Amino acid sequence: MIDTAVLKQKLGDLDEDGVQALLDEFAAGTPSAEETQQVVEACQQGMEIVGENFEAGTYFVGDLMYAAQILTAALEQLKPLMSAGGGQAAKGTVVLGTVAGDIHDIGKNIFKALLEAAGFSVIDIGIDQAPSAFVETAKTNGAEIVALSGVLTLSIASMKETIEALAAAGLRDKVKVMIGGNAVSAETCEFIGADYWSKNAAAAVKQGLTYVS
Amino acid sequence: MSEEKLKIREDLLAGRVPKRVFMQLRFTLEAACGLAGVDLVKAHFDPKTKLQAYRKVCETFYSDSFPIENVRWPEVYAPLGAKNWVMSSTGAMQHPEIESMLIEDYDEYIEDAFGTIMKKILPRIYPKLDPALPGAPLSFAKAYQRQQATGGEEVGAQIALSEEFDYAPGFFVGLFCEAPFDFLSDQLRGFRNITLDVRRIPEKVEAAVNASLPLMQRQAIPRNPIPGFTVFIPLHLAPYLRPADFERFYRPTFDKLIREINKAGMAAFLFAEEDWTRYADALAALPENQVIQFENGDVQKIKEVVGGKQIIGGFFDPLITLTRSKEACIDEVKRLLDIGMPGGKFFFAFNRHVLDIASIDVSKLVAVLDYVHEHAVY
Repeated sequence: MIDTAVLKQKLGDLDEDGVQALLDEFAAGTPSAEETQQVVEACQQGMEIVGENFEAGTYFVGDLMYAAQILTAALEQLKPLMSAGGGQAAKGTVVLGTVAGDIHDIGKNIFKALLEAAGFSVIDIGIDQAPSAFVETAKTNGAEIVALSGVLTLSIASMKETIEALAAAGLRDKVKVMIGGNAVSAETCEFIGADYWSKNAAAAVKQGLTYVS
Repeated sequence: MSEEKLKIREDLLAGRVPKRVFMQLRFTLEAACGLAGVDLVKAHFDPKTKLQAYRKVCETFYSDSFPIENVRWPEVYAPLGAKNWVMSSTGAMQHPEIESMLIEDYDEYIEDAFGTIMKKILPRIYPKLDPALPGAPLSFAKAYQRQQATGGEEVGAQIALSEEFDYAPGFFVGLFCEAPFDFLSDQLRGFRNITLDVRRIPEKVEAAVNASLPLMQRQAIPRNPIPGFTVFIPLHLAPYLRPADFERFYRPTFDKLIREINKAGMAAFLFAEEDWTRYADALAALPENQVIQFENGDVQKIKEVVGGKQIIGGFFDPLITLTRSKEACIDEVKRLLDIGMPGGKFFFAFNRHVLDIASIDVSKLVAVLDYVHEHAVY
């Protein structure tokens, strides 16, 4: 069994080669599902370090993207090793997408990776999605959180329409709505009736965890 | 054309304190159509409808220069099968994340950037230009013909409305390029890939950025440069980079590009996307009197660090007209003018384009612009 504290720190330091070497060593040792779960958790804790550094201003968006890449590759490698015992239960379900009229997905994808690292089940419905797509997916999957992404200022109007559609479908009291992207602010959050806004994906994941705890 | 507006613009670009603050607005075609109540898709293809939408913006909002920017024409991109500019469900043209240069293309690009673009990259961005397709030359001819025709219509509309509304030229006069690192990231490798590349293969990224510089210079500087013209350069990725990466990959070629533009007798019109406060020193270190429009950032610090040397503007977010009272919007613009105006070298602009009419309150924005026009006087 590898030293999970070292793995956690290497991921936090964005040491891609170091993380890969440890995972290769781990996989070569025919680990149990329980050990694999410990390694997954170490990766998740490493992402927390990344998030803290981002919030502290020592890491930048490029670092978050790089961390997401390292983590995604790590989880892919660990997935087959978990199949025997299954993974941990999801902490909650998030429906995530870029709202109608906006085709940008970089911020959405970073947030998705961080949510998955934190143990959420994420249903990514893609870009340029109509309000009805968020409503139907949230309803079908019993989501606790609906996360709306958008880079362009036109996304604010689409976010508002999406929240109105959730209300019309009787879902507004059943889900928390988080908004993220270049144009969001405390003012726009209040204006459109969302529960939370952020331009910081790491901080948003922390907030998401409070909704399902 | 208004002598007063021209004089204000000239004084501003020369670094002199003008009579009042120059106002340059930027609305998109989508916003113009929303304001005029005309169909966006129809306006894309029908010059009369487009002109009707443009005129409505000119009639509604005060500006010192032509207030609409529409340079991404679907009729040009469609015959190319373009991947880099596509239409969203609402009809707006947008630039998605693309990967037109593969990681294995780096060496070839470093050796011959222009040749690699012609042979490998363009057919990936524009699949209908694939030389293996018999119709490729026809696709190119269609796109070229439409670009000429639509470009002519656009310029015609702009000239006609500029005469009608007495506009001075804006800062975007048709010349355009990107900072070399942004070009490599934005058009060739994509944001996600370049983020990995700078960590995994930094030497190749550095060499590819250097190889991109001559292309950007060639695009920015015409054979016969026009003194006093500005070259529009949207600045994308610096705020997302680590400071060391900015110094290594972004700044050297960006700096060189701006200096070459200035050597040719022109200046740069930079749109500093996101928050450039962190790199304010780098902007201040450029040759004097570059025009810089900021999206976000610490206005006070940027005025102090950059404003003494460069001509700055932007920061005003039209979205606040949706969320604040008219008085609060005017208070916000007063605050901006109080910081930006002293000493001159300041123009009024939105922090980014107004993309659709649902993202502003028209009457409050009119009040804000009228306030600036009437009160931002030296």
